[in-house]
Amino acid sequence: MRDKVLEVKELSFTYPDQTCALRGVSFAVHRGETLAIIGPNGAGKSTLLLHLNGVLRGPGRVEVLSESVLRKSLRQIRSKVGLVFHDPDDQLFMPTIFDDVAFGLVQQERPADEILERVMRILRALGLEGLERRSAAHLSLGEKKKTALATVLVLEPEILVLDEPASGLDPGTRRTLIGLLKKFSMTKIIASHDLDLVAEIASRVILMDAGQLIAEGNPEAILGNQDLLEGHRLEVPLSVVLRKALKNIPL
Amino acid sequence: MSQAKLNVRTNFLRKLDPRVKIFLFVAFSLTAAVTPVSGERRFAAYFLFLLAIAALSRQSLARSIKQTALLFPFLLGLGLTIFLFGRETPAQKLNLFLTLGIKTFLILLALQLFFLTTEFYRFLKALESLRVPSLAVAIVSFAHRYVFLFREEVDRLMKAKKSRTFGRKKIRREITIVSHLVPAIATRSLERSERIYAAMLSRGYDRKTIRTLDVLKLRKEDILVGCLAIFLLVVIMIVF
Repeated sequence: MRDKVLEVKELSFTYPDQTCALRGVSFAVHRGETLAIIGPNGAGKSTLLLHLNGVLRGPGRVEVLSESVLRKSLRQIRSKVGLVFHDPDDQLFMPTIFDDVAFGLVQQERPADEILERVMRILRALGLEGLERRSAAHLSLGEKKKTALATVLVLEPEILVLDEPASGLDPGTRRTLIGLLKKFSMTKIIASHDLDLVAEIASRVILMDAGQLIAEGNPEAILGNQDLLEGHRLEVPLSVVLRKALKNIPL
Repeated sequence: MSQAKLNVRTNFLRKLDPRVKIFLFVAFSLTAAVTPVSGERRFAAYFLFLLAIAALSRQSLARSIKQTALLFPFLLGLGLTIFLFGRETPAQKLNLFLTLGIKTFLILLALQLFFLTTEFYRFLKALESLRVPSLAVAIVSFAHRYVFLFREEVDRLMKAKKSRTFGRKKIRREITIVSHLVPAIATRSLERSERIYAAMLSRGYDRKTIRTLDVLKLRKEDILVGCLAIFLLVVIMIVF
């Protein structure tokens, strides 16, 4: 059995306007796996992700690499859990792309030479070389998404957390992103409505609705269960439908 | 790519240490503020001083003057209070108004030159190294970010409004729409600022210090330029 890198126990959270976003959620993530969190709008997926590196903290327990997410451990936890937000405009707030990608490393007080080397390496790897002096405001959505990913990957996190990574992307950029995500060997937690993406890259799936964990299992079991998905305002992804149909054709 | 290439500072005012620039700005503002009402020649000298700095740093002063002109309505408001209150004669009031206007104009022009030639993060770094409390520096930093964020939200909502506005504009209807837009803009800006703050926290921002790659180092040239500028200001004060 692979070791646990993240464990959530009985996590609950209520926003100040009394909206209850999480109700006693518990699950664990093992090293190297790609966990997809699916669910309809308002299921609590994004709120859950914000708990994984301590941006939000609610009653319950979150453990990252056997360390509880507490105020005193936040600095260390945040260097291990990289969080990519749904809207890249929220993540890119510095004057240039270089500054944005360097932000986390600068906060960690790394030497300037190391920062420069790591930023340029990650920009090259994601095909963003040459954009470092530009403002994020002038990028396409695909470039913004990749830059937001770079701001986190540059920190070399052990756990990569992505909120709707492919939303709003054209098919080509989406395909490039899926290719990139498949290449990364670290543990990944992905919240998405794009169930075809989930079917392609997830090794395990969690279904959430109304702040609760509804089902957990391998992608075939969850994504192939039409009643379960439709009962929670989701649809069986086309790729799974096709796969099933092909299986039934006698060759 | 080298660090130098990433931090291109093309002219002497951009290269100048921001602490020296802050010091010079304060000195300039003080000397302009204490100039007596009858100091027209000194005001002209100050203007030439700014013009020379703008030319040396290849900045267009005309653009700065245009932007400063946007504040003229506020100056007129100030002028109104001068004319409405006080026991001076109308001629004295006019003189006082003109002097105040010129002083404000010169100081705002200097402020524009300062920010046109100083990256905001270097300005924050300078404030920190001048021992300004970190809370105050953080407030300035967030205010700067939120101004742009607010402007973006205004742009988005105005586009949405324009796309659904038909026919001739009626002032009363426009006022009603804008009165609905203002709270929406404020709410959206606040919500987005919270999300950006969450993004900062998730990448290690510790709510205390603003860290940048820049390390401020006071060079001999900075001290020399600072002394020269102070000397010129003193000369202007003595001669004119």
